[in-house]
Amino acid sequence: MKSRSLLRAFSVAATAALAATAFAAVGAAPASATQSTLTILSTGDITSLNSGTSAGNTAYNARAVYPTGMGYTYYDDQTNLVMNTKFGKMSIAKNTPTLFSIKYTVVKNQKWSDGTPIDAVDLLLSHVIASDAYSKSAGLGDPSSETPAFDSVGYGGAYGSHVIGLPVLSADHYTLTVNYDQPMVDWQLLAPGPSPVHALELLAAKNNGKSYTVDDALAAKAAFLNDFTSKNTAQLQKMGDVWTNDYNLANINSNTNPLYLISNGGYKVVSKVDGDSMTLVKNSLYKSGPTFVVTKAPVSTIVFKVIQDNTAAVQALQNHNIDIYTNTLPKAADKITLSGLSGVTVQTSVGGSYSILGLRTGALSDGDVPTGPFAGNSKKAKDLRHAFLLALPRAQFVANLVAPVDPSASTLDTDFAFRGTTNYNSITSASGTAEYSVGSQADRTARALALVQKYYPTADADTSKVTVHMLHAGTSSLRNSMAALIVAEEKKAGFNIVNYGSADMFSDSDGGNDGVPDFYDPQYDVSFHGFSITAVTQGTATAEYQSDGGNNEWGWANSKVDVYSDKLQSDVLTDAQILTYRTAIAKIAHDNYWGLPLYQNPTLTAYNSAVANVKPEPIGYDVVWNFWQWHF
Amino acid sequence: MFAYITRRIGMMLLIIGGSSFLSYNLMAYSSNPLSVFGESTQKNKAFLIKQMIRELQLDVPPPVRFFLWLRGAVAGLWGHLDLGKTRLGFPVLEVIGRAIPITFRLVIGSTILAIVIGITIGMITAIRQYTRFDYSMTFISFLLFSIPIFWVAVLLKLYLAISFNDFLLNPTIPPQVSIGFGLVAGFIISGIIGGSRKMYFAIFAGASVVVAGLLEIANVTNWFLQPGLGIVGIGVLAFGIAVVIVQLSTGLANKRSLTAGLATAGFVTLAYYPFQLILGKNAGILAVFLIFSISIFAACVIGNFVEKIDKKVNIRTAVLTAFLATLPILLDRFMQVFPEYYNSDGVHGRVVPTLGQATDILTDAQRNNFWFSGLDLLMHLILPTLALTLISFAGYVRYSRASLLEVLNMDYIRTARAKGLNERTVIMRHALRNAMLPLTTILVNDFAGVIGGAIITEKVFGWKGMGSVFNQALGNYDLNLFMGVFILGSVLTVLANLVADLLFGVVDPRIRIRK
Amino acid sequence: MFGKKKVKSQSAETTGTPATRETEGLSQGQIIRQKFFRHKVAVFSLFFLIFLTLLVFSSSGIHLGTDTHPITVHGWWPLYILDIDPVGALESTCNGGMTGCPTMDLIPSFIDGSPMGFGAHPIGSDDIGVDWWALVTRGAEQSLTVMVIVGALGIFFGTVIGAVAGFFGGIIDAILMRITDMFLVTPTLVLGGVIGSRFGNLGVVPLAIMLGLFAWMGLARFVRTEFLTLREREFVDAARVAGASNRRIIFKHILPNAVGVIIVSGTLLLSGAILTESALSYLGFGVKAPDVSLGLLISNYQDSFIVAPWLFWWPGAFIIAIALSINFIGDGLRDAFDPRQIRTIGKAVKVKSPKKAKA
Repeated sequence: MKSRSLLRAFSVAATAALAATAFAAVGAAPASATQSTLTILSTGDITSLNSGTSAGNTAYNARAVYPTGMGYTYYDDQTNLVMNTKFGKMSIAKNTPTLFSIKYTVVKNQKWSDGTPIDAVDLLLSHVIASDAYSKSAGLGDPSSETPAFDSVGYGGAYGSHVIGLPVLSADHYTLTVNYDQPMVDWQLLAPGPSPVHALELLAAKNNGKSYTVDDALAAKAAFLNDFTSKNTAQLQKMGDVWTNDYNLANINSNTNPLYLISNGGYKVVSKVDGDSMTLVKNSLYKSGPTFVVTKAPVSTIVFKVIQDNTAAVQALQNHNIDIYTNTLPKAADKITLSGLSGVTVQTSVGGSYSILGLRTGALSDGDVPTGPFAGNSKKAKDLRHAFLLALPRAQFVANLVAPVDPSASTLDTDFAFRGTTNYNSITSASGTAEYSVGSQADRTARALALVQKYYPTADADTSKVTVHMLHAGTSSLRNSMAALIVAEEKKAGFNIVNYGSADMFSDSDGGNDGVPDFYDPQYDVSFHGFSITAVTQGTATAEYQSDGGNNEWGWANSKVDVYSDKLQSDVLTDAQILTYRTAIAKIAHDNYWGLPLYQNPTLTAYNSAVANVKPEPIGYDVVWNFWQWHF
Repeated sequence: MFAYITRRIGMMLLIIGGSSFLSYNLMAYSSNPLSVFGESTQKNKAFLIKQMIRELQLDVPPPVRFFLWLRGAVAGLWGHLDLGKTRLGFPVLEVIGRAIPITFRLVIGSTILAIVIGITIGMITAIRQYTRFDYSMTFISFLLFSIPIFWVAVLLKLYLAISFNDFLLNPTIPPQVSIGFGLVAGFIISGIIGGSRKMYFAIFAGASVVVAGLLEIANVTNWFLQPGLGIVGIGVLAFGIAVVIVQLSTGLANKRSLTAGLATAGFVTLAYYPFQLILGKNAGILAVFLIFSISIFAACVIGNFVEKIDKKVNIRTAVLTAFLATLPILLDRFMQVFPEYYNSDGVHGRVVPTLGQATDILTDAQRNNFWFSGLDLLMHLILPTLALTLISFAGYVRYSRASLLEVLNMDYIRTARAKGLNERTVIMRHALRNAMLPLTTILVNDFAGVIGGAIITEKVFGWKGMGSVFNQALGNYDLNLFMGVFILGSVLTVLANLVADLLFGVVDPRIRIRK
Repeated sequence: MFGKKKVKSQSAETTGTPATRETEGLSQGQIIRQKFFRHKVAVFSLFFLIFLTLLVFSSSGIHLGTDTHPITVHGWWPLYILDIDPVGALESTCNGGMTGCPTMDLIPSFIDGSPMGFGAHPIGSDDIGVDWWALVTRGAEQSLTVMVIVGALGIFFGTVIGAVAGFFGGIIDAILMRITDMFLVTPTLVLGGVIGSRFGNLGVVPLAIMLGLFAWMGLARFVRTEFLTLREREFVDAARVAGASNRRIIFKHILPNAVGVIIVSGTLLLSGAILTESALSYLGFGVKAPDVSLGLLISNYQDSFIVAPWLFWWPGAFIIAIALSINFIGDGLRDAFDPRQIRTIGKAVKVKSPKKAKA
């Protein structure tokens, strides 16, 4: 009996606790909650404030540091390259076949966030981190064979290959002239970016950044100019060490040396929690880019919040813990879910990336020769490749996976021009790739089966005769769905696909002995994934088709393609010439049945409707490109 | 004793050494750090690969390389612990050092909650064996036992965090919801109390009306936006706590204890306003410590003066009451910053976050305000703590129920009953203490499994503790980082086992550690 | 309060305690069976699990062999996870444009105007038109496979190692137990993560085998403790005196007495295995596409939870159903093997006449 009263006492207490909560009377009534902080989703870790090093070279880093640095150009949401005249102007000073020089001027009265004036000396570091010749001659290491003092991803590019000597600084330090040995394609994209060189110099001297004056900074800048021109190896090496390693800050807080955080953009970094978030606040000295929209409710703080799990990200947006959500591999459910959330606006943007499927025909740089059914240039291999491409259910990808996100989506027949542009139809019809969009998929699959039956007469939908190994990035359920669709349709054409999804498909393990499949492994006959576009250039897409192109993952090789690609990459051409060369490459690719682009990947952006002027930009830095226009 | 511990520690080191060797090789052979260069189109790729081979000593076969790593780890014994560097070049110790407090913050609260709730419910279900309450709790605990945490987290985020924040935009509970809550509360409370059918329905009705009524009062007073307890609430809670403590420890019939408990409750209630001065805006953890010290000191004095005999019992009752009754004052203090918290920029009305371990953009003033930053931590703890508690308290319910049932079947309990002791004394004095014994082992082991448990929870709720470090290590083939997490986990487990054994010897006089 | 109840039932008995009366003349196995079958929820769970297993395996069929040489027995469900609806078949939508909605309609036409029926995809399909029932049953099949393999290996190694250590004692015991401790100090998910990231690639069977090789430690400890006490008992001495070999003593005399411990911790192992597998798949270290498992299905589609709830609830429901029934079976077995547990029998006495209960 007693145990009952014991429990009763318990419940009396529990009820009393609830009762007690009713008598409350402290604090004023909350006013409506205000917001001046904008939180942006980052799906990957932000590891470094320096996105120019090989360690910090990720899209997440680049996007997060974009608002802290403004240079000569940026892309807008229509993929136009916009000249940032608030920072400076550039113009061609001399244009001859052997000397091509460009004059860069810097607008006066700009300041870094620490108050140090900005001038053309701040552009010189660009030369250090992009010119192989400078690195070698200054004793900083040969970037093609060892790790240079400045471990930059900029070496080995068009700038380094064609620049002549050192950039020439004007007497007032506000103009810089760069000379090239030939006319440069896409010269606007080669414009040097500003870096706070005084900070590098001070950091190399172990300055703690707590107490330096503008005079100290100017002296440091002068010292840098001196070190740069005299190629002071010892000092440059120290700076290289700082530049390469010290900007990879795991945590940033009030104890962090402020010299690392100097900005000339609209915002400056104030804090960072490793793997979690990075916080930026307004830079009061900002003059180097478009002026902020004047408003009563400005965005005073930007937070980049790292959330790798999509479900968690969607729910965070739903709870308004984040304000801007971006998904580059969206599924139908994502769009429908997000569209149904209250106070959230959803936008779809296209043009930043596309998916492509390629058939492995030859050896890659590691020399491993594939032996699968598609390898080589025999008639049989070509016919089988043709059959495989014909039976590729591209229309189904679009109908089931892409159109629910981007209603205007359709298949992509070439990656040299996007749908809707004037050149698209002429390239696809002239190259012959339009054949993959004509008629129904059933007809194409029937044609494919007929081609397979030329070599395997007994092949049909029930008895697959050609076994093909397929590789894709298995981490995304979208890619897995695509693979399932391919397996099902190709079976009808007589192909038995061994399907393999690997999160590490791009990670060669130097000989492939780790058991993790990657596209270097010659046993994979087919692979597909997406390509992102980060700049609009004349040589677009050629890196996939050129025999030693950086994006050629399938061993495609053709001497004519190499010649045309070289021309597109480095010659100044007329529009007609560009079209001719691009069409020619597309035709060769089609005649050899190398592969096919699949569709343009839509990017899904969903944001808090209270934020004005969120405009996804398909290439480059995504939503952050116009941070100055945001407000609540 | 000393020899025993020394031998155990020696064995411990051997075991950890063996298991690290095992894991090191498992990890080393199953991943290749060079694979990061696959994507690289850099001209100096060959050089970079060579450099990494040199830095990570990849040319040394893993079984041998292990001993190179071990040298640094063993140096920890004389204070020069060196666990190497991560792939990104940060010292492993530093990374893990940052992650440990975060994981512990996540796990400690939920473990304590799970233990308290689990054991309480387990004990009640044992006492109320084969009642509706027992059956429903058995079913619920088995159900929670079977639910994957990542699955339940999605539901919790949607129905607790997001819905609650949306509710706060217009915080009025519709009458039918109040009634629903009332009925559920009535069912639970009447289930615990049990009794005859008439009694059951009376309690059910009473509890339902009280709870529904409270929610209505909360509606009227806008309590959800301006929560607080006030002196009335503190008073009611303090006296309620006093009654429960007295009933549990000595029984309400013991007037001296009752006087001591009630007097302490009265003191704590009256101290509400003076304590507000101590717990000011600039107060910190010291102030919290201070108010608890004052309460407990007062309780000692009260217990001492109530009666000359049985001082010890009275003091114990008073001190326990004082401690528990002071907790609501602390809670009230946190509630007082709620309106400010609600309106702050980083929170902007979304008080229950779905992820993260703290608000990213507290101002310095907010960060230095103990109450504000404390409330922020508490709010971030709600969902993960709830999720972890839900899935782990079920185990304690089952174990404590089984354990108490077994003890209640023992002869000494029968003896205790036979000699006329009342049920409270039998359960609280004889049964409970013995039933707790086997639980210590489980308890300690659970605590050691912290890291394993944190891996998924941290991923789901976006925390950056040991679990996320482990995921990162595995994803990046970061052997040193992986080993750092591993060694911490195994040291914890082994230590926990040692502590459990020693503890067992202390609480159970029958078990004597072999000399 | 329970004390009161107990007194009442005891006072009703005149010929002894219910436990002794109930068990008169029954063998150990019969007592256990009888006790187990009185635990209604456990019995229901057992039949439910058998039903679920049969349902899952018969509906999805058996799929073994390598990719190039598959061995396939088709199930009764017409669709398999490789069958994809043709373009246009997904046009029916719900929840604001979501395709693949369940076609099952259990409401008669006089209420909602549409006739009752199952339709092509009773519980819906995924975003490309693969039948969800096919995926979920295949996933459950894989999860059950993992569970059985992990359980079998865990029980086998746990029993052998525990038995050997407990029986022989001394140095063998010390060595084996230190090895057990060595495995035990490694957190399960940490080990599983390493194993899964490597062996998850190969499919469920190798993954399950690897997980099973690291799942025996808890069981080994229990079995060892049991053997330590049992080997000191008189019947072991009697057998030894009679000249029985060690092998015979272990297998014929001690093991049958330890079978309760083995079964009880074995069920715990099973329910743990299915949750570990789903956790690993969720983290991306377990089963990988194109293979499916319940954890992987949840992981892939939980972000569709709001607009496509069937993609979230069904795999979750299967995991819970399997784990829940195993937990209940384990509970029933524990009660049945526990000689002190008089619950079911005491209760039966109250309900049924003693005569009937004896039969």
